[in-house]
Amino acid sequence: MADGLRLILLVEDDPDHELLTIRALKKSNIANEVRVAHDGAEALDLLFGDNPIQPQVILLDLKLPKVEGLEVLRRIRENERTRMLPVVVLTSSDEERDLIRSYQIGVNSYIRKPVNFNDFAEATRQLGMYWLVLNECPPKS
Amino acid sequence: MKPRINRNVVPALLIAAILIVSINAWFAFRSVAVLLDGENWVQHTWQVINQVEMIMSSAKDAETGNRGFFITGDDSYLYPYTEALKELPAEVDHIQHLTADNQGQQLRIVELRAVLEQRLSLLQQGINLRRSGRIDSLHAMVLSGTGKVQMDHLRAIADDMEAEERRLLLIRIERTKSSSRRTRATLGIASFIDFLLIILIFRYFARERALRVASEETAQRLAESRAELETKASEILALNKTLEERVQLRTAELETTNRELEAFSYSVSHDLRAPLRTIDGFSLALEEDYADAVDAVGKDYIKRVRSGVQRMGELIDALLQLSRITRATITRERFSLTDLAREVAADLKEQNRDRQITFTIEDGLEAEADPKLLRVALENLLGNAVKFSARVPLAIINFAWDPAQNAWFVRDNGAGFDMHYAEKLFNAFNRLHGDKDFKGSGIGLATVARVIRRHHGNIWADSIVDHGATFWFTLG
Repeated sequence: MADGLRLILLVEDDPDHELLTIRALKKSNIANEVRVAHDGAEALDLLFGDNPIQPQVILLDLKLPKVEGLEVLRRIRENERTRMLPVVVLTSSDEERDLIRSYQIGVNSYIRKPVNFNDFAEATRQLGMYWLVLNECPPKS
Repeated sequence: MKPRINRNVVPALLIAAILIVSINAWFAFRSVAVLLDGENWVQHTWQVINQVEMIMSSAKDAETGNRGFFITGDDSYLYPYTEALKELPAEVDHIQHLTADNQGQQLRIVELRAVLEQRLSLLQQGINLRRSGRIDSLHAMVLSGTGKVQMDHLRAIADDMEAEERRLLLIRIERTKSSSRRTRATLGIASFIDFLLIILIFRYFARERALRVASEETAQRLAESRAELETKASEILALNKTLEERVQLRTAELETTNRELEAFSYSVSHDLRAPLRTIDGFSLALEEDYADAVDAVGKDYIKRVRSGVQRMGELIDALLQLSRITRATITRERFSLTDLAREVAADLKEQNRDRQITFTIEDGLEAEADPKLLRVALENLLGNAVKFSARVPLAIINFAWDPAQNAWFVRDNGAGFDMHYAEKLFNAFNRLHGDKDFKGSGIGLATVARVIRRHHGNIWADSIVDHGATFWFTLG
């Protein structure tokens, strides 16, 4: 088990966005540890591998190499241990079918990344505030 | 219609022909009978005349024979007399029988018979006197002239009878002649009518035959054209099959293209936005983190980079909306256009709080359409109206039903546009105003037109520069 209770798992294949997201979180004074998975397979490995992590919230991009974001979400919801983990989809796509599919599989929140970085930073800030500070997580099993 | 008339005509014509021929035959027979009767009468008259002459000749023979006997006393002279004596009663009977129809002649015959008897008895007296040898008495008797008187009387009666018969003969010959004329005329007329009838029937049958031939030809042609039609029908069927196959092929191709387009627009929405966000993010980071190292001009450049990014982001959003409308399945339902327009108007007022905008939206407007797509259309139409009326102090935007055009309309009192370019209005990226006048992607009206077209409706516009614009639309 990784140290720190308030771990954030960021699944993001674009290193620029990774950097910008982490910067936005920092600017919002969210000091939680951020673990980054650069594709779906890596995310699954982190969650279900030899040393599985139990993050406070998962920020999941949908368009990922190797294993798609939706597939990662499905696997999280299928597993007894991770079934109740808060998962927020963060995506550039505003395709309705992605939105619907995500909610069907059981996403907790769906956020479209705005192009304007100020808006994006604001969204990230609110996201961190809500899921890491305000939201009561289910008890650890 | 014609064949039915012909069916009725044939028996009628036949009956008429039989009737006419029968009447003609009857007239002809009658005429011939009348003619023959006339001729019989003529012959009969001659017979009567002959008979009278025969009687007279017998009487004269008796007279002449007696005269010889009176002179000679020779019995052989009496032969004509005895013959006449034997024949005369029969001859008179015969003539009486012949003239039974003529009262005048019968009376004459009675007279004739009486005079003849007197004459014959006188002759018998003479014969008796001669046989007894009383020549003087005989002489006196002959000289008395009684015999001559009787004979003259007899001759007068015969002449009368003959005259009567000749009179009758003249009448009867005349009658026969006229009857013969009538017969000829009757026969002529009858023959003419028969001839006419034959011609008519012949013509009728010729026409019938022509009609039959024509109908046979028509039937033949009909059969030919039917065969041709059947060939054509099978050709069309075959063509249809090929067409169907082709349509299926094209549909499959279109479906593939559509899927490709979908993949393309998905990747546009995701992959094109991502680098934009990166550019914007890092330019902001540059602005924030290295504020000291960048001067005012540098900051202006960064600002311009970010506004370019914003603009591209908006364009991508508009493009995506356009492509999404093309692909969306339309689910029609009845809903209130008035409510929808009021919602959109409220949003627009919210977004343009600094401006004076009056929306006039007619009550009770309803449509049977896809509400989501109609929202996109109204957002663009009302949004356009708001945008292009930015220069007037009080924007007045009207949404209502136009009974004259049988369409809904959105009207504003804004900048309007030059009708010369009206046809470019609904094409993507065709803009009638420069970006420095009015910001825009040039996709809004193309999107509206696509929504309307997908509902099988129409959209058209009218405007005068600086006097606002009106957009009408229908929904199939």
